[in-house]
Amino acid sequence: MRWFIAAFMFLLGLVLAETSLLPAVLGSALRPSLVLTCTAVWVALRGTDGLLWVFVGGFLLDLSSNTPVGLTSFGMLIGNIVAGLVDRAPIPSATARAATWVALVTVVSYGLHVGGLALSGLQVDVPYAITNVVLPLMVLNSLLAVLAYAVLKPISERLERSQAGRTIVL
Amino acid sequence: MNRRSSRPLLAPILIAIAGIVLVLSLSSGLPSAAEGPLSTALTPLQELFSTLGKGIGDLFRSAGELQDLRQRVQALQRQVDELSIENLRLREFQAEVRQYRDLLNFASQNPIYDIVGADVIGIGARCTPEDSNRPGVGVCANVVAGDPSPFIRYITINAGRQHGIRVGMPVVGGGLALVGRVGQVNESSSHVQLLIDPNSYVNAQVVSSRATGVVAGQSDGSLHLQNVPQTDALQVDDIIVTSGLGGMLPAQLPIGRVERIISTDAALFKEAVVRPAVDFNRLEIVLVITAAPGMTNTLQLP
Repeated sequence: MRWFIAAFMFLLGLVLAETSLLPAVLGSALRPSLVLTCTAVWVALRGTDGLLWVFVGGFLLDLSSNTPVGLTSFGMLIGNIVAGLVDRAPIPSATARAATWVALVTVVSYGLHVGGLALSGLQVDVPYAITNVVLPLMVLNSLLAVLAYAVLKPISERLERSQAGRTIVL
Repeated sequence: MNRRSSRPLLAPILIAIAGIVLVLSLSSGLPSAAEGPLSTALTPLQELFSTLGKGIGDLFRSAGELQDLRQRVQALQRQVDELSIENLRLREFQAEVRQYRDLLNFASQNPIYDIVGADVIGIGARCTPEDSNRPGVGVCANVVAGDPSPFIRYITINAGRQHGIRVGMPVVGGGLALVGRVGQVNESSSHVQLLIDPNSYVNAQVVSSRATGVVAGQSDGSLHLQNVPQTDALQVDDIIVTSGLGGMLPAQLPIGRVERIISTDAALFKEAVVRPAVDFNRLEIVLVITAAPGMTNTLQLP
């Protein structure tokens, strides 16, 4: 239970940093998606069990955004599922695998995001969105994924050890 | 994701929930219903993070803009000197007028009393969202967040329904320059659609030629003045203000200046790039105009 509360607070902190801290620091410049990156790295580390946090993070972002509720969480979930399906490719480095995973999630989830916005009647310049937003964010988020992986990997290992220990005791 | 999951049904369940919420929100406008309580809880935290971010941002910016700041300080110092002189003159003038008025009143009503003059009192203008109850005053608000979606340009302000904010109300910055319009209202916060949002369209007028057109936000964050008839004059540095047409916005709110004309003579309408009067990167405090002559505030924004 304590682990869930800590994870939720961490995610809430990421959402606040993404919606309030980064805009104040970077202005209207392109900003990396902290929630997308961290949750995608977490799924890459933990498997489908990590999808719960993708859903929670995406939903929190949805509620801070003026886009239709569910659009971000749905896009991020599908992005992670697609990344999981493509994950069969042999990538020797675990960090590179996480970065690739995040790149795929970024492309798929923002692609769905653009589609959803268009579906809801909002005007989106699709070629501009792809070349000037999605592709740069793919690079930006992938770079951030390297840092996120370095932070989340020990946490995942620790969690795994504690779960294994609990299983033995049981 | 080649690990074996301990919860095989988790992914389909979560996708189904997100999909249902998305369909509901697309069809029935779920956002405003769901955001109320959460926004109330999040707004103070967003304010805290925003303040922190501004501090960090200022630290980085100050190093890079030192040279620019020096020049601006010199220019502003000159301006301050000029304004101080003008202010002094005005104060003297105001005091003189009041004195004359008092003298006249007292002289006519109480000819036996001495006349007492009064000092001119400077008016401090600091407003908070709580000022919304005062008639004739806009609601002042702090910018607490930006929109996480990179495809739309909205900001979140810490004034909402409880402060009298309604959808469609104009939001202005320094010098009453138009920042945007309220797009969505929660209990204690609101989402403001910026002028530079790709779905923002504002009826505008060129001050010098009285030509009318539409100022539209672009995907790259720039502003374009569109639909200006070829017969109307349009020049670089022309000042663009709101025209007030449509009743959504009051007239004469500054929008910006014409930076570059991009249309050709062969085009049906003239089009120009507009340099906004507001620096959207440094929005910290805004004012929401809650009432103005001819403003209806009935339209929903996209």
